[in-house]
Amino acid sequence: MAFYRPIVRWSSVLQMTEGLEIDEAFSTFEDACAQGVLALLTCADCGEVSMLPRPVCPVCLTQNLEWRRTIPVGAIRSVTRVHRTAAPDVAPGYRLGLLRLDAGPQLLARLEGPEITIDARAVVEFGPPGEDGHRLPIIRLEEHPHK
Amino acid sequence: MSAAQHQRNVGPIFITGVGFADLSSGRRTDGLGLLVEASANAILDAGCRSADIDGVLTGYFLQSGYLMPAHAASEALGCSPRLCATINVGGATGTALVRYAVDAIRAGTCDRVVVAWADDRGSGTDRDSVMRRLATVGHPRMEAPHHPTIPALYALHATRYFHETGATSADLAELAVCFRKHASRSPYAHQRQRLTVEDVLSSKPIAEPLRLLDCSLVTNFGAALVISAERSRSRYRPVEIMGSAEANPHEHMMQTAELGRSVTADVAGRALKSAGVTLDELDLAMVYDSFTITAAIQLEDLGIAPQGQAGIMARDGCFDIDGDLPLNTHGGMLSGMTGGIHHVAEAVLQVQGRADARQVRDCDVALVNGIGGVLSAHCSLVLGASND
Repeated sequence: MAFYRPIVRWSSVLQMTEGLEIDEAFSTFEDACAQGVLALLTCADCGEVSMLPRPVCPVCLTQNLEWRRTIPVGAIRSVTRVHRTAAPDVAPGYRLGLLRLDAGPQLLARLEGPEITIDARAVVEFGPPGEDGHRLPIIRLEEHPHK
Repeated sequence: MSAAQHQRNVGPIFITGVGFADLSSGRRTDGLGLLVEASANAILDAGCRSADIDGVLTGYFLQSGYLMPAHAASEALGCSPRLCATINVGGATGTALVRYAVDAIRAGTCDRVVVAWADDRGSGTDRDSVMRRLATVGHPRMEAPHHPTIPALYALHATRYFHETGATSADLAELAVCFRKHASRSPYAHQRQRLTVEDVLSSKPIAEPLRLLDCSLVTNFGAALVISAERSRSRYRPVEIMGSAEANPHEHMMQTAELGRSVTADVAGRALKSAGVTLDELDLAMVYDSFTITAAIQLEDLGIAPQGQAGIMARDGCFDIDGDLPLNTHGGMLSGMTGGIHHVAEAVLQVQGRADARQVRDCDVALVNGIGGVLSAHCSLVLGASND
């Protein structure tokens, strides 16, 4: 069972919010989102950073992984507006974007707010809680770019 | 059956038979029916019988009750092969099946392998669920909640491609127009009516900048090949598998290193090198065209077209049957020749001189490129005439 229950913990160094100690990689990211925190899976041994929840570090294969809070800003790599979807409960016309976080990984998420074009600086926020309590990351134009 | 088992084969490997399922609309059959039909036709085309086949490699079904499609097909064909496996490399499955058959024959595992892929995506009893499955992709926890359809993910590549190259939707549309022109000469293609650039640009928007006619069709498909080290028993010339290569850089969009580009230059380059063939020597190219953008990216990564100019070259007739480099002469997936295995089968027909009204003159060397996922899995083949 070790494969399915990796040792994943919040970094004590970063003084993460109390109550987020969960040993299940696939729900920790979502729990962080629910609290308005964008978390990255970081290898405590080699420092490899990823956003894909997985039980081992893809570089050194250690299970010594931590979810670390990241600064949720980056640059937009591409955008689209989706007009056709086969999901019956999803209204078409939504926008999607691929964001390259300054921390390295890429995030695929809905775009909200003013129009966002390629290479624009953007920030990750979190949508309202759904029926399952999850809050999805959303991407917005950064109003006061730091760079 | 010969005693070739465990004797490594270092000589050339050939495609000695090609077969198709009956894809005419209105038929009541399932994916396995199409798979078996195509396989039987390929085995007969190779001048073989079921007992001659000692390897069965098939693609996967999106929807079916069969846990192990290759075994179900083998059973229905009356084979008892030494190697039997169902392979999923996404849209690269068609080309990858051929590559794996070559490896099995070279290793001495098999003498004659039938490779096949079919699916009833167009007429299946649960077409809605097929559409949902094709539309709901992406990492199940990190991407799928945002509803990225497959067209939307390729649209992200297209937006970036436009941004970096200056190409436009009208340029991409030229590829759809070109392939449909080929389809109008083919009895196999699902859609055969000619298109104009205006038709493409005025079709329904799917995921900007891609429109309906930028997207491949969801159709039934089914083709099979027999692969062997022996020259054909049939009356057609055998087609040598001169080289192949594969690359699998990632699965998910969020792990994609480059947008509007792919690893095609590396993969197809290695396939060409292993075949001892240069781009200039190609008589035919068959590139995976899940979307117009997919074809454009491959053509430009390969160096067949300069950056941003695949569409312009299509407009100028470079990819016509009598053009500089005929391309997707069966009409491509944009005309309903789905699944990637039809790209391989068409190249075989062309090299054998069996492509009728769409026959490319003196077609001796062909490149076939397959892509699965969102530019995630790549497998290239170089096929050539064997005249000796």
